[in-house]
Amino acid sequence: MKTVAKAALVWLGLMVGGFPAAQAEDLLLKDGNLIRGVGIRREGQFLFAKPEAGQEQIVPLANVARITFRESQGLRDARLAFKDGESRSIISNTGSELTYHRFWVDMPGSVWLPIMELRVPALAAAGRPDDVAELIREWVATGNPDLDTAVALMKLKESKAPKEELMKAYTAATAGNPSTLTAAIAWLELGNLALEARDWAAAIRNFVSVQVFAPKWRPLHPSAMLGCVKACVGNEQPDHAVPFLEDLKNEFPKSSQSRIAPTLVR
Amino acid sequence: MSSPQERLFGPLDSRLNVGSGAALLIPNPRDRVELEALEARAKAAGGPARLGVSGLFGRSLRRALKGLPLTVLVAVGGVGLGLWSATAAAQAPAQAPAAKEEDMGAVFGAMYKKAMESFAKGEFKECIEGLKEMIAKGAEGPGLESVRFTIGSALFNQKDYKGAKEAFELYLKEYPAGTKVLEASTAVGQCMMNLGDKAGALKSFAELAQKPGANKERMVLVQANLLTELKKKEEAIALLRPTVNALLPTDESVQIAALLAELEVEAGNVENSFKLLDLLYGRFDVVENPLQVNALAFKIGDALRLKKEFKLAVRAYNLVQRKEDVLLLQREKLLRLKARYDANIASLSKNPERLAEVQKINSDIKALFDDGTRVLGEVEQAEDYAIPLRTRQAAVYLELKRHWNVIVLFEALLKSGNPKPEERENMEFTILMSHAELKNSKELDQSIDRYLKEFPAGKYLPQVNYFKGTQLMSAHDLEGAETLFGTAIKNKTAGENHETILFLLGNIRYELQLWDKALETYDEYRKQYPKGESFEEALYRKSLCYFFKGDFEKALPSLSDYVKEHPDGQFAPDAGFRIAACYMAAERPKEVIQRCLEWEKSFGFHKLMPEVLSLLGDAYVAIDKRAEAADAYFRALQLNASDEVLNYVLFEANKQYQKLGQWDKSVELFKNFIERNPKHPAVVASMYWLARALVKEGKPEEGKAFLSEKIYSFINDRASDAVEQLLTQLAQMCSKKPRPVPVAKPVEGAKVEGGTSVASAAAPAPAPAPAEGAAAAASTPEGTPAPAPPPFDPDAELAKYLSAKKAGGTPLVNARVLFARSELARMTRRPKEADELVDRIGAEFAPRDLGAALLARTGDRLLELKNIAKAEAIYRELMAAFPKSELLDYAYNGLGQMALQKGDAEGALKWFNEAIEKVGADVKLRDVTLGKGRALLQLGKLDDAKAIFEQVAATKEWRGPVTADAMYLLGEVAFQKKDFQLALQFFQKVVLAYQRYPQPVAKSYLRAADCYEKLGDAENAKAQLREMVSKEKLAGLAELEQAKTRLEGAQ
Repeated sequence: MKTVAKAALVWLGLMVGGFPAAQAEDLLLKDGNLIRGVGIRREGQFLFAKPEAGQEQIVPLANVARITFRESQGLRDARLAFKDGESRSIISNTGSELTYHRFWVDMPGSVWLPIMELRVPALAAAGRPDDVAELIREWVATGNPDLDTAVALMKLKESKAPKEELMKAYTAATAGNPSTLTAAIAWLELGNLALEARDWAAAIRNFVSVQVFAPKWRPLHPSAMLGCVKACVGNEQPDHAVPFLEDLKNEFPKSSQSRIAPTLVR
Repeated sequence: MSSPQERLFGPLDSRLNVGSGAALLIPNPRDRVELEALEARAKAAGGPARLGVSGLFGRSLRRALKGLPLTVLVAVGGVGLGLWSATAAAQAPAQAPAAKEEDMGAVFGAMYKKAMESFAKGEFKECIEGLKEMIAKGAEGPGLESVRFTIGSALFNQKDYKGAKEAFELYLKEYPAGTKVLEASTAVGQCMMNLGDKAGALKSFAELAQKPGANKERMVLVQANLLTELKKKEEAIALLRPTVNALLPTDESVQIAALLAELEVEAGNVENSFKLLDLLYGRFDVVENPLQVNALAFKIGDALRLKKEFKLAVRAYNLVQRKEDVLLLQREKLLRLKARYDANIASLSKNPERLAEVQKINSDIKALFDDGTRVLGEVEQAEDYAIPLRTRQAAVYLELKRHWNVIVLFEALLKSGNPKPEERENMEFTILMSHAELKNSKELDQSIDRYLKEFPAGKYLPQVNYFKGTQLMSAHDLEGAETLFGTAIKNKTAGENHETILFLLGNIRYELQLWDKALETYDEYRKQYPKGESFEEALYRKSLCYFFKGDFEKALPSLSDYVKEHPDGQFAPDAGFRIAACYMAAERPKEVIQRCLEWEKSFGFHKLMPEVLSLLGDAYVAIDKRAEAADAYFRALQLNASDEVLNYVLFEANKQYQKLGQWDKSVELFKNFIERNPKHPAVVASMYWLARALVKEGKPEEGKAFLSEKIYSFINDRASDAVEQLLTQLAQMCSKKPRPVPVAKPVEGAKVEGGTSVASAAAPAPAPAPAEGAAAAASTPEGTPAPAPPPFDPDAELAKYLSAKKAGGTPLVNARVLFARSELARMTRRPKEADELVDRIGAEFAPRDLGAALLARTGDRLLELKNIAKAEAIYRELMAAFPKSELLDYAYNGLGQMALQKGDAEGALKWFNEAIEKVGADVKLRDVTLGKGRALLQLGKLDDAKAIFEQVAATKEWRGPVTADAMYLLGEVAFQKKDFQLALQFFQKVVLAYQRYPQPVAKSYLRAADCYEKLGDAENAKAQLREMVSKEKLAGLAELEQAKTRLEGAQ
């Protein structure tokens, strides 16, 4: 947890001015008391809990056993968008959660990690350079090896490392657990590199691996499928693109890739 | 999967084992130490001496004893003992008992303790006897409730369900408000179940569920399982659905979700089952047994696969977590529990007053830890299910025609090295089939090679060989395919593809023109497969074998048989055409004409019509009916014919018009052709012939003007290669003095210009024009003598039709005009001027200003002049600016020759190989081949070089200076191999047979002298040198100077 605490300090240090007010959260104290439905804010080593009616209570952070955060609409929408593979929507919806939740990163019950599990793959698939750069700049190890390695891969790409180095890193990343986000990102990037090298079969292999081995990481799928379509077209086998087009259309109908792909084949 | 009952209650033995001793509950010695320390601290703090059932292990036991009467709680732990002792102690002050009674209390206490110890050891009979003895001896009091309950439990554990049921019913009767009423009622239901009274049990559990304090989820689960066993699945679903708790907070809720998911999928409620599966995987980190959830996903996936719901099946299989992941998750779960446990103990040192609270919390943690440890063991013991999972996924992807997914899945499995040999073979073959489906030729080749290497006698060998054969066919390695399929048929290893392979073998032999073998194969096919898919085609192809073999006597009846057998067959039009062609071969043109006309009536719109008309034209020619012939050719020209046929009928029609003196029709013919086929390769030649026809028609100016107009329309287009050809043609027309032509009259048997072959007609070679005087003398006009001609100036004539200024005066235009002038100079026998003009192109224009043809021509000239740097720039520009040009071989050859000159044989070899493989060297094939040989020679690869030089020397079409070079180089190869006699033969052959080519001859003289010297014949060596210096043709060559020097040295 040390790393998470450090991350919290970094982010806290970035905050200037007022603390965002929270919706009603539940607060479990170490003495067993449960304070329900309070707005919380943090100042120094204290937590200020404000019930809807009544006076604000001051609780030392050390006395807090756990905070149960109510799921916000933004987070709910982000989860739905995650299932639909809509990276843009995930980025936008999680973006609005960051300011509030980064203050509670070091507290038991923090939802920072789940937010990042939604946001990182979305940024890897369709993040604007600024967003990706910000993520990389401010990232502090979370203790979740998959997420931390995935961001390290993104950082390597962002650093404009030589292709050989990238290839080496991505290949190594796919050698481990294939269902991880790290492997999924590595396959996607290996696919893109193969596309650049006009190695169509390798491109398809890598892109398909995202779908086959990392089904959980839906935000990466539309990009991978579009990559397959590009490889089929590049290989002058547009008819081979049909299954990928079908999957895009059926599984990710709202994605930008499902609109672009048919035009490539035409 | 185990039965629902087993899933709910687990095997009886294990329940007892888990509950029968504390040692089994402690996973490792370190835990035991911590536990003892905790107990010691508890004792010091005034708590119970032993953290027994009521403390640390309470929850664990309850969890382990799911469904069992809580007998063991009473029997083993301190609670039961405490109750009895307390009862005895409590009776004393209330009843003021006598000493005897006190003694009895102690006796009963001892008896009870002994009985409970027997229970703990699994000695149920002794336990029951002991407890019954207590009752017989008059034991009474609150402790008796436990005795009655324990008797029922012991009987239950002895599987005496009838006895147990009676015992529990007695308990319920005697203690209707007892502490174990719910447990006893549950036990009664369980006994009924075990006695086969499922309906009774169902009723019992339903009633029990309504009782306050009953575990409703548990009861629902039991009922649902019973309903399922009673095949009342809809009722089970209805019972379970309202009970599902989306948070899955308890073990029972997890089991309810799992059971309902199974039932829903069986009932076809796929979406519902998926929602439940999603719920279960959403709580995968806390579910008691992740393997069970995985098994459910498998089951749902399988059910969906059977229902052909393949996409949903993929979703289900995708949820299955890998064994490695489950293990990791489980270990993490245990570590978290351990950390919490440790933290709680640590907190006691600061807050000893929290002992009781910590005991309670840690007992729960311990129970969870133990369960987790057990599950971890189960997962570790479980076989890895990666292969069954991936195989299922692949099967579904195959159904969905997602062949790449199959390939990726199996390649990963194969790479893992886990599959067994038979599984490996299946996977390799499936990959191979998938590549075949995807028509991934390169990957299929690799896959085939891999399979054949690993499974040379594999069960799929016939199929793999079939694919290999078809691949060889695709790669045009027909000999390889013929060998492979021939062997398969001969050795009877063609398997289920025998019919296809046999027919393909016939086709391959047909393509290879192995007519007799092909005939034999088609006969064999027709014999073996009279109802085969290709039966008709085999007969037709058999006829064609005779036809192409030139055996028309057999072809004719065979084709006639085909038409008779299959009058509407798919090859009937072709057969009709071939029959006519057979008559043509038999020199029966009238029969041909009749057949062709009949054919036209039957199949007039068939795609073979142009060929038939072409044949008709040939037949008319054969009987000197030129007008009809020309008409037939002209008609063919109006149809969608192949380039080859168009080319043939175009120039054959022209030939007939020429013989008929119908130049106007020639003009019309070519105009029509150019208009209809503007991109046909014969268009440029047609323009030339059209211009010539105009000249012949007496319109020379019109002819040149026509060419000029065409040139002007293209001359500024850098990408148009045809311009240079037209310029050459214009130069040729301008090289000859025009002569008056009388008005054309039809003349039978008139001389045909442009040769008689299609090739010469299509690509007229500009003949060198005679010098002005000679031209004038040679061109005696036919018909009326003309007045004395004015002096003819070909340059002025060209300038009349080609003006750089008029064409825009761009660098490209200027260069092209220079080129035309150079061509004219060459044709009018002014070679020096011709070279100078070409050299000006190289000197005055940047490579980017020139078209492909000029780049090619100029590059070669610069190379000849050894202006390497500029030549290289020119060739590079040709490659960069015209990557699809047919003249690219000039660049590859030029760059190769340069590399050779620099001594970079490797580099040269690369260029020459690419010239052949990448751009399919055409014009420069001769130079490229020889260059490749030279490079190999430089690299010391003598045998490879020799093979190439032999090839060059043997190619008739290349006869000339390269033949002399090749012979000389063959001598060089022999010399380097120290076979001086053989080398001498080659050198002498060059000297004798190729005197026209001074360079190789001079080199051969020197090398012949070297050979004689090596053979110790100094006299003949000198004789060679002397002969060489006597040859006037060799004057000026550096080799001649060498010879002179050597002769002087020898004297």
